[in-house]
Amino acid sequence: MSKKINYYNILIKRRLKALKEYLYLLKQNKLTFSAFIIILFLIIIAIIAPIIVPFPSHIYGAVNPQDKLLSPSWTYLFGTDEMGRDLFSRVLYGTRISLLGSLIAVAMGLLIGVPLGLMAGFYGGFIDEFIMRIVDMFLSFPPLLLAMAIAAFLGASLQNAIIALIISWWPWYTRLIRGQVVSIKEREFVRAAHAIGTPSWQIMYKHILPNCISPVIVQASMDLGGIILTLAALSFLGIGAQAPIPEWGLIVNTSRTYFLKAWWYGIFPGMAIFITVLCFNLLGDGLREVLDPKTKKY
Amino acid sequence: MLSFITRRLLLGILTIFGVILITFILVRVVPSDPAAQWVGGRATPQQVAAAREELGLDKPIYVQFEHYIKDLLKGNLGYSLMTHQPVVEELKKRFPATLELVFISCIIALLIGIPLGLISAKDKNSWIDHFSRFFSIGAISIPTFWLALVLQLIFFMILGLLPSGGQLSMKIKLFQNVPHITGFIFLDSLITGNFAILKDFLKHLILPAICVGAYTIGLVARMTRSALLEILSEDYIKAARSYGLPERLILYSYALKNSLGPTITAVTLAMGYALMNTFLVESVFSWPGIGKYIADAVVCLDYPAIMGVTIFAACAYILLNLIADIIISLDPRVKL
Amino acid sequence: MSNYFEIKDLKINFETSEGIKNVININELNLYKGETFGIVGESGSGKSVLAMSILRILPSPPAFIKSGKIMFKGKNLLELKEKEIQKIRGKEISMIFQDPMSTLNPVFTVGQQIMNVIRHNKHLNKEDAEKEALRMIKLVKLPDAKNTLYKYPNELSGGQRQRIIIAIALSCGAELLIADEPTRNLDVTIQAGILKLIDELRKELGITVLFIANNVNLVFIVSGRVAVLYKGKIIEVGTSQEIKREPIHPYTRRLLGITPVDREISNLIEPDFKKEISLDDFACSYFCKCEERMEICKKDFPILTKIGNTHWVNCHRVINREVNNESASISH
Repeated sequence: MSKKINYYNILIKRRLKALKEYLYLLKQNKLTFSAFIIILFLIIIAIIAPIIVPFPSHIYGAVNPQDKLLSPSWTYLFGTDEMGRDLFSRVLYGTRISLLGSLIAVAMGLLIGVPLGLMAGFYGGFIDEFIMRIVDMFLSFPPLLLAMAIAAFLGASLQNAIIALIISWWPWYTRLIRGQVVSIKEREFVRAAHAIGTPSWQIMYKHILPNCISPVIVQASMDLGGIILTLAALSFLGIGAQAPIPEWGLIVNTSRTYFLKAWWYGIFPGMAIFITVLCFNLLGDGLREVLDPKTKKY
Repeated sequence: MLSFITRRLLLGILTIFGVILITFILVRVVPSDPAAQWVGGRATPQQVAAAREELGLDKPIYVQFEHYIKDLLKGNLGYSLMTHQPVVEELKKRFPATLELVFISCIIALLIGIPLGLISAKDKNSWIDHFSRFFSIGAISIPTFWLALVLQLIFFMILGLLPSGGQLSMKIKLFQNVPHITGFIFLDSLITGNFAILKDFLKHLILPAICVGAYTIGLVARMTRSALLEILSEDYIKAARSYGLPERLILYSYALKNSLGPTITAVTLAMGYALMNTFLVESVFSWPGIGKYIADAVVCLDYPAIMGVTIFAACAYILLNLIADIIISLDPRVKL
Repeated sequence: MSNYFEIKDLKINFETSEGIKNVININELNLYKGETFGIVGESGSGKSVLAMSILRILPSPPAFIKSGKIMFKGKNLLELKEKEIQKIRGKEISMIFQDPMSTLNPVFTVGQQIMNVIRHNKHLNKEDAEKEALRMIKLVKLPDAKNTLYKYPNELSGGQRQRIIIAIALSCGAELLIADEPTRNLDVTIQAGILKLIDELRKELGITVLFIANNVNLVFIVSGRVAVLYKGKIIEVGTSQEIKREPIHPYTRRLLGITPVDREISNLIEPDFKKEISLDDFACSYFCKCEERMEICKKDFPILTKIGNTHWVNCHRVINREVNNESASISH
């Protein structure tokens, strides 16, 4: 009994040591690390937004006609829109929508795509063919097009846009994982596990999955940014979030009518999108440097 | 080799069929009634019923699908609800403008992106590497539609250097005879030697091209860099160095030839993304292409138009990938 | 004669995630013209690093040559500029590697690869280069030379590929050939053919061969003189007969499968995660695994000491013995 505890102790210690090493490597790249910090900052903002927002009533509906289309000032940091609403509050609140929306989309995409990819790669044969043909069909659409079509047909709303994104994104993960599984499947330790009689699902999830998770992590972290971008694009086109939801892309779209009179209107939400997506991409890129065995230095 | 092409072609056709199926299913999910859409807001129920019959929507699903396929094979994509013109005609009218935009943007993107990735990989961890990596990641993070607005703000409103939209300025359109040989303004003006039109066209082209190309520059630079880095770490590069071959020869002759596959993939992906970017950019710059068409269509819920563009774009993309696969298969390493 | 090729006080460090590691620390290594000199060591002993450092093709982060000299025909290779060392690569010193498949560029034909090197190094035109290429292919005893020129690497067998690589390496008149585990990825039967070829070419062309491997018996058969490398340090050097007959260093004895029967096998010290003992804490790098270690081995660095005409050993037992005036041979 004490031997077992010892084993887990050492295992935990080793895992912690590995984690420490990853953090150390991450810290080395100052750019990635700063991006990581900014993302943490954004997450915190998103969580405490309802508390720190200066004009909570302006987020959705309240109309404040006398203050409409004011340029940035100390009261209204980002200026106001055509209904007199404080843009700073709206953009702040939009952080919640974008971050939460992209988290849900990526998480659901992984939940659908990863098991399918594992099954396709592991079982091979007809299951593999079937799943991969469907994946090919989905991936033969240029990016964004399928999401646009689905969102347009389902009806324009934030929820439908997220659903459209989930449907468009899961095939990427399936293809990614399947490729990894196929190459890992042939390795000795998988055959050994099979020979001892480990049940298939255990082989898939406890043996194979941990070995091919790194590219998926890298891809998913960059996708968090990419989905925010796509979601904003869908809202910009009018088939995503609808008024009065303060989604960043939608705010940019609404700003187009008042473009000549109020330059600040569209600039700030777009800047928010840019910075957020930039940080996710930097993080994903940095993670790739750390996790990818090929680029590892000796 | 031939059998590879036929196999790939069949696969392509199968994929196109899948695409058609998916789009057909999408249309059936529509919550609103296309028939009511067609006749407009203030129609009587009889008119709506008549429209439904005319559009064939009262028949069972598989019959509708059959009609759909038959129509497609005849080249009939239905009628655009916005303009009441055949969708095919609309596409034919607008496609050249988009093609020109995409094509020129991609060429610029490749001319900038590939050398950037090359230098980045060659001098890994130098200041130019760090700069180009940051620049590439920035380029793929920037929201295209926002970039369009920002550029329009700076160059049109504040600086007044460039026009706000359209392909040609009113002056040219009214007073000059725009040549129409290929349908592509760039080529036509070049062929006829009409440099005034060409200059005007380029002035209108530059901002949309930057917006469409921004993402692709970043993408191409990143893909080129990673492909080249992987090649440069291979043993045969190490061996070539040990034989005394100079770095320049190794890079441009050895490494580049090995990067054909990833480069073609990058180009294909770039064109796909560029096409998607036109959807976002064309309406901002009033560029008369299919991007603006579909941007208007999704707002007006013009389903035939959306479908038509979707199928068209998907088929174009599949064809592009097919060509790319065939080129890649010329690589002697690929065992057919 | 010993000034043909000489390594002096070479120290090479690596930057790793755990800090700076010393990978090569060689006081002295000489090559005589025309001999086959073998270096034997286990994986991780630094053999490939040493080989690549001679031609300066070590990837410079993470490797750094801290100090030392590599003298070849009077010139210090480590001080040459890039253009000058390029003149030496392929034309005076050449290298062949372990994996014949990955050493050849898969998208060029074999003929193109040989001719590229010949054309660039010898400045010949296309026809002359082709003639030279054919001559080299015949020299490495490949049949059907003309057709082989047009084959891609994946159309040849492992042994054939390795012969092509030898052809490329020797095509421009190199007089020192560094062979870094050239037969490791080949079948045993093919190995013999390649080794025989290398030896024949050595005699025919008058070249010097530096043969690096981790297969002990192979190295001793092939080489005239041998150096044993352990963790970047040379711990024993001598002719292959000398060392085989009388290996002094405990590691060499282990390698050759000779362990003293009448000594008790004391506890080997393994790296301990709990107490975080690093293997570099002791003066002699072989301390932890050495069955004959003494107290002095912990603190004092042993130095390369001459015990025979051509036999040098890096071990305190030898120095001790000399000091205590014992007889030259150790009784097992």
